[in-house]
Amino acid sequence: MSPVVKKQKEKFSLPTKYILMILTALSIGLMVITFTIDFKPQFLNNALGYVITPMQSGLSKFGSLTNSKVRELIELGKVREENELLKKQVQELINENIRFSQDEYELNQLRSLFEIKGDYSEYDITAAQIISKDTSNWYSTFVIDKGMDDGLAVDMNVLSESGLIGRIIAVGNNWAKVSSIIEDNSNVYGTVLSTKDNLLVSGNLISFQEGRILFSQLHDSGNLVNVGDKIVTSNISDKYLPNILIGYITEIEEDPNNLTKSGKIVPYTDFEHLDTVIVIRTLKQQVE
Amino acid sequence: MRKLVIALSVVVFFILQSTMFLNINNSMIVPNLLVVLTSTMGIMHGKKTGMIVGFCCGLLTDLMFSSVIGINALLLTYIGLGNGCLNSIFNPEALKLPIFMITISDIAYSVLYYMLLFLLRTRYDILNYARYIMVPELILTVIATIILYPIILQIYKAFERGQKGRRADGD
Repeated sequence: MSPVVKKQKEKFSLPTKYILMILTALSIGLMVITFTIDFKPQFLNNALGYVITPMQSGLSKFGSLTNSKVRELIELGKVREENELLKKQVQELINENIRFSQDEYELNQLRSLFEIKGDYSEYDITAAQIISKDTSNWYSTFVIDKGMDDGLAVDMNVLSESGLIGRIIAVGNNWAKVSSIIEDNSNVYGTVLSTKDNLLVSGNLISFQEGRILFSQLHDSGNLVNVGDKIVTSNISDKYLPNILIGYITEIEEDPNNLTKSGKIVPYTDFEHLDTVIVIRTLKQQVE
Repeated sequence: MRKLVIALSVVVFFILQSTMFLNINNSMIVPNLLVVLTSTMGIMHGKKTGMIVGFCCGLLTDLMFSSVIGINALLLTYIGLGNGCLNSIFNPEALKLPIFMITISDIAYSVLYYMLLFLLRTRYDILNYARYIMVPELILTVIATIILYPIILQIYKAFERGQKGRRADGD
């Protein structure tokens, strides 16, 4: 047999270095494209949404079910012991309760003075379930199980029961991708509720290990802003609706320039145990 | 057939990575299963498979979650290539080589990811990033490898047996 015939018999395959070159060029090309122009491969995203999202949805529901069942089993023994202890405590608490209920009336009155004027109830809201999260440990983007079909769009605000989570950055037919305010590249304009001073709230991966996010650019020449003050989203934010609770200040210090202050905020949302989120279907008014 | 199973394992690992740890704790550090898959595929099946598996895993991640498409694809392609270079000394019975290679791969992935997406945004605090993100991720990834590697190995062995059988029948 001649060598020529033998060669034809072999399966055609690209040499490794060409595959490497093609894949590298493809990745770098995609990176350059996403960086320079606002390229959103909607058709690819939608295809993924139809294939991957239902599986993720099913699996995360299964996961949360088993998780809660397993937890129930583990906790059963503990619960019995606790039950005895708690019965004793209940009696003590009933006595205390009588005392506290007297204070409650006063507290409620004071609270109503502090209450935020813009209530979320005036917006068109919908609830959604988180079905998957970013595969890396560096960002905390997550995907929810509602999309364009439920009237969601990019830049809609996402909340938990207690405060702001983030906003939608991409949307498919049956899913939406949410970027949270604790992410390292996130910046939100906020306002101190008591003094109406604006500041910039930035997510930070390192400080979030202690449950904090950062703020900066606070102009507070009168030293009126204190630890414990509430931060809400600002009127001047171009993506976020005003007066959504973000968190409260825990640390505050003067910047070296003596003009602005920066510090740390504890977000109201419990980012570690997110499950169901609320999406506001009203978009912030944009200047055309 | 082999291609189909490899493609399926990419999808399964991706879905596992993005959902299984969701219910435990949302901001807990998770092991990087995609590095485990890319690395083992590279070691077991060679450079080409490693590269393509890495590219597909990365592209899926990028399309679903990343703000810049292509960055995970690029990193994982090279991880697949690097691991594929050691295909010639691969011995199915020894667990040391995959664990060693996955350790190196995960460190490389973390450091490069940090350099590309954090260092370039003037986040210089590498020691804290290492302490809070990279080292916990590494430990969990190695633990995940010890659990998952036997499963991947069984699939690999099944293929080898099948191929030997086919060779004996056909040729």
